[in-house]
Amino acid sequence: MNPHAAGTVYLVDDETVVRDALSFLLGSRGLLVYGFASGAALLAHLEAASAPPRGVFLLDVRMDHMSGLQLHEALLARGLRNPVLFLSGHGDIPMVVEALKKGAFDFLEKPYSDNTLVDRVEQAMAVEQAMWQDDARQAERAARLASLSEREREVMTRVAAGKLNKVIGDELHIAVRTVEVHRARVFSKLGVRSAAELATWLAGG
Amino acid sequence: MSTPLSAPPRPLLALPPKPRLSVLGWRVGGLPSLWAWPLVLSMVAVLGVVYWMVTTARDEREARRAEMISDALSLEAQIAGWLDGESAKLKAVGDVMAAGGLGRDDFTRHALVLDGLRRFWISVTWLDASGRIVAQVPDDALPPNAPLRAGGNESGLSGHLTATLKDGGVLIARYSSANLLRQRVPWWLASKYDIRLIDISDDVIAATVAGERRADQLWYRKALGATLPDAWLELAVREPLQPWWRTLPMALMAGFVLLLAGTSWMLRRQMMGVARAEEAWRTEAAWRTAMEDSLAVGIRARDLDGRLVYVNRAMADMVGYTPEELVGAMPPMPYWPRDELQQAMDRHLRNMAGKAPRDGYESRWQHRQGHLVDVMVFEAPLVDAQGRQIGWMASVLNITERRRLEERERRQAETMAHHARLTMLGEVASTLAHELNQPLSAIASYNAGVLNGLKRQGMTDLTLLQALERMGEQAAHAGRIVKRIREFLTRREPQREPCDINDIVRSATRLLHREIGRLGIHVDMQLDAELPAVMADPILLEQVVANLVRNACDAVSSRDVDRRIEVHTSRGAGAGFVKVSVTDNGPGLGGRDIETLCTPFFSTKTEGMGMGLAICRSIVELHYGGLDAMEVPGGGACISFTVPMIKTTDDQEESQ
Repeated sequence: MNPHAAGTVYLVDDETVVRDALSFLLGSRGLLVYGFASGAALLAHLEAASAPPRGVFLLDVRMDHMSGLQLHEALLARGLRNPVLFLSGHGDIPMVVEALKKGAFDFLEKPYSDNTLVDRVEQAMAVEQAMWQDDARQAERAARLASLSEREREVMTRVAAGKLNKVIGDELHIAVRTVEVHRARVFSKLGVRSAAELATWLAGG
Repeated sequence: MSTPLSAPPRPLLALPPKPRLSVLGWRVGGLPSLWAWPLVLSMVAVLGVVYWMVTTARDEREARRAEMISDALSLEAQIAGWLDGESAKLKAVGDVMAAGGLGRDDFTRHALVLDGLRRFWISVTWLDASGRIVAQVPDDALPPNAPLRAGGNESGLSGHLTATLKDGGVLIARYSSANLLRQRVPWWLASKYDIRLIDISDDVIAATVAGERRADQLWYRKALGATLPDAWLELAVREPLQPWWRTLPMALMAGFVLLLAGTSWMLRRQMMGVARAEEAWRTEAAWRTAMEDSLAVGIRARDLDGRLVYVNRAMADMVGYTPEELVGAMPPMPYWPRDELQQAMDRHLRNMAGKAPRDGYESRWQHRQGHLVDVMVFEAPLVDAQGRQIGWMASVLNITERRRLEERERRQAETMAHHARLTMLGEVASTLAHELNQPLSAIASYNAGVLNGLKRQGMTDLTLLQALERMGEQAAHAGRIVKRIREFLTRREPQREPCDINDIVRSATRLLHREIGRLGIHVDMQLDAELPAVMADPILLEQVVANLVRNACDAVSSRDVDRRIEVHTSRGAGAGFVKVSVTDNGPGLGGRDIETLCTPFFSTKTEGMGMGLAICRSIVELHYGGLDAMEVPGGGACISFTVPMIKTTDDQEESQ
């Protein structure tokens, strides 16, 4: 089983009974669940993993040693942007506000309507999926841009600005012919066919 | 620093003014100087008498002096006349000698001469014109040229008479001036005066008495003139004039004044004593008044009829009247509460009968302005000096404030106890809630998981699926209960809504119907269908009822047969309350009151936590109601609580 496959729920709760029950419930809806007894265990697992985790975090607020909120901070500190859902037996309004401000996805108060919890987890999962796909596209763009040479990037900027090859050649003190060669190579590397497409691509489309 | 011991300050208040005498509009001293008045008046009288006596004495002296002068004048005239007579007789001798030519011997034997010698003359000497002695009768007499006043024989100094003869000779008759006075001064004059003849140099020539004139004698001198030149007749009153201050009246007066002075002194002492006593009494009275008026304790005295004869200011202030208004008042007293007159009268009669509690009794009076005053009264018989009881004396303590403080303290203590209970319960319940949440969550999760699994596998047994769904619902319900109780105990307001108390009771009983059935308990529900709605949190009240019913079930389970529980709803004793009571026929409360029963962690059950009734009471009190417990006659317990009903217009009209 690929631990970083899409749809993993990282569940942290120091109550074994609850952890098992929730694992069973989430599993019954086809979700893959990793249970951890403490924040430290989760962090250790993430350290050991080769790739960033895929999926959502489901954290109990009240735990010994490291509370759910502290664990959230630790995850943020590691640059993880996966959606986080909190489980709480103590619907403490200031705590909720604090967590939501820091980007928590949702707060689920115990006792909860159980399939509602699963629904929220699945929504979070969808959000994570979209985020992951977005991240992948951005990474590809970055890789393509990185493949350009210095001269090619200079030419690309000017082409995207709508300048003619002759003007570009004058500015860069190179022959129009040379400009055309660079232009063709840029189009090929970035996978665009026209100057208009290039501008759109650069704008992040 | 002043001396540690000093005179106690005199109270200056309420000293009655001292009586003052007024004479002609002049203020005269008070009592202390009154004693001097008789003395002063009598001194004035004495002075008057003295003045009168002095003037009288002066007048008398003048009168006597005038008398003496006239006596002196007449005496001088007599002596002068007599001496003139003697001179004439001597001249007659001379005439005889001139006519008859008397010889020396004839002369010495002449009748006239002898007669003269016998009568008055000491000697008669005949001097011729040349101054030689011719004859002298008697011849042993001093020569005629001897000094006239030489020698001081007993007849005193002598004087002489002369008669000139025709031939130029001189007849000289000597005589004794002492004899002159002895023979010629009448006896009554001699007894009245010391009579002396004085010469020019103040020497006494002759006197009727021996010795000098006393200084205190009144005297007068008259010159004898031609008859006895250079000599004075002096009269000195023999009986000395008594000075006025030596008279008997004066002695009497002095005695009188002394007596008066003595009396005055004694009077003064007496009056001083009286004044001191009066001052002491005045001070004492002022002190007593000041003390009585300053006392915070009210004092009241009544005679045997119950009439107020004395009240001090504290007592009067306590009930808002003046002492004058209260003194003389008879029961019913103006300060008796108007709606407790009968009790006050009963108490009064008891006190008059001497049956007032020795250690005081509490009473309630009404201030003039209407508010009530709580007092503590200590009655004691009022006994006079003869030991006879003449009334009743009471000290009265205003304990209103103390009462109020006590009440407030009690209420504070209650509130604190209540808060302590709530805080502790909150802690316990919070922990409990957390602990319960885990299994409840697990149950709900497993249940949902099982349902999900079964549905995915195409499970179609609806009975089983429904049972599982009910299970989930109950787990969720349990979760809500825990949550609600925790919220309540962590001081969150209950979710009040109008609800039917009967529904709540029915629903609570239904929760336990399994247990009731198991134990074979007969539950008798008597619910008043006419009860108005109450404003309450139905879930919390349901918990209360369920708790009470569960306790009742536990209680009756000790019986083998005839296990009965009665649940009643009715209108409470106080207006606007609904009462719910749960009665069982179990073993009863064992003498425990509601306080004991509600003590946290107190439980009669072996597995009980002892939180049930404590939480119930907190819930009921939060709904402004009350929880109560009582034994049922014949065995069993009745636990009841009240909650206020929603006030409707009808109810308000009803209660009015």
